[in-house]
Amino acid sequence: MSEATHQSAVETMTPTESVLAQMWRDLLGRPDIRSGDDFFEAGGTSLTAIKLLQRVEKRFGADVLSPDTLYEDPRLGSLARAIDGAGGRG
Amino acid sequence: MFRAWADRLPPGIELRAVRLPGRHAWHPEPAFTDCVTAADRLAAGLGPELRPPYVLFGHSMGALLAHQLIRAVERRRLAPPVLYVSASWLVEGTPQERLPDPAAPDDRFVDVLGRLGGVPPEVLADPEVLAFTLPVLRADFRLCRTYAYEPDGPPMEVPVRAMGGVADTVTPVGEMGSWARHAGRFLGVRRFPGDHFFIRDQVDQVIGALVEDLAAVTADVRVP
Repeated sequence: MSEATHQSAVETMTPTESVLAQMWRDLLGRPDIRSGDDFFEAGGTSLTAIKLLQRVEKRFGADVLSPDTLYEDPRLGSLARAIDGAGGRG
Repeated sequence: MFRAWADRLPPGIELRAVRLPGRHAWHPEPAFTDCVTAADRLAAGLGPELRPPYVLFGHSMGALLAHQLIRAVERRRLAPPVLYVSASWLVEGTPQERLPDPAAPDDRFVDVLGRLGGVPPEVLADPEVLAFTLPVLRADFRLCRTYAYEPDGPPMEVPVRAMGGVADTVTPVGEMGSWARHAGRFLGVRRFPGDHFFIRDQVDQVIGALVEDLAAVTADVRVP
């Protein structure tokens, strides 16, 4: 993979991923969040998970992200796809 | 709460946990507002899945709902469970002052909730986490308040087992014997170390007791 495509693969996030990444940065105190990152491996706890769910609910709607989804596949990209798939308001 | 049970139950017993509506994106439909309607909806929804032999095990409000579900199952002439276990719940219900008042302001509600136990202090201390948690708990306690004890109601045909924590001050284990008056066959009260939430710490002991009771009540039931 060339440097250029590598760069764009890293930096291209969907709008939902970008919003989630900002939430993660804020909750986890880490600047470097990528779409393949796992919420719990990145430092998330059961308590920060609730805060994330609360923020997702406020931002995207009450029924777009099941806590089960967060625990089953906690990667940022997967959560964003789940939210988009559930028709989360952008 | 029952996640820990899944890999501890012996083969041959399948775990099915019931989660109510009004629980965020798990079940975003509006919460039930009274326990009889809730039980009717549960009976309607679970109907085909209530295949004998099955057990209804409930803890606290879950035991209230399981009790009402048996009533609903009887009304609908569905197959009854072979056993009902009421953990941390009294047939008379619980005096309202022992439970948080769903209509109370947050600080008072959280104060009573904290004394009840079961919710970690770090949850109670965090406004954002509370904002997520309190609506669900308020709905639960509202549902508990709709329980009407029938002192002269006909006893259940389903065998009943009561389980309680010896340090429970909300549903004291010493008061659980009154289930006997409402059960055709009462297996007695099992006492465990711990408080209202003893079943979280006593998972293996509770499952062991349940398996033992299940063996006793199914001894003369032929499994198809």
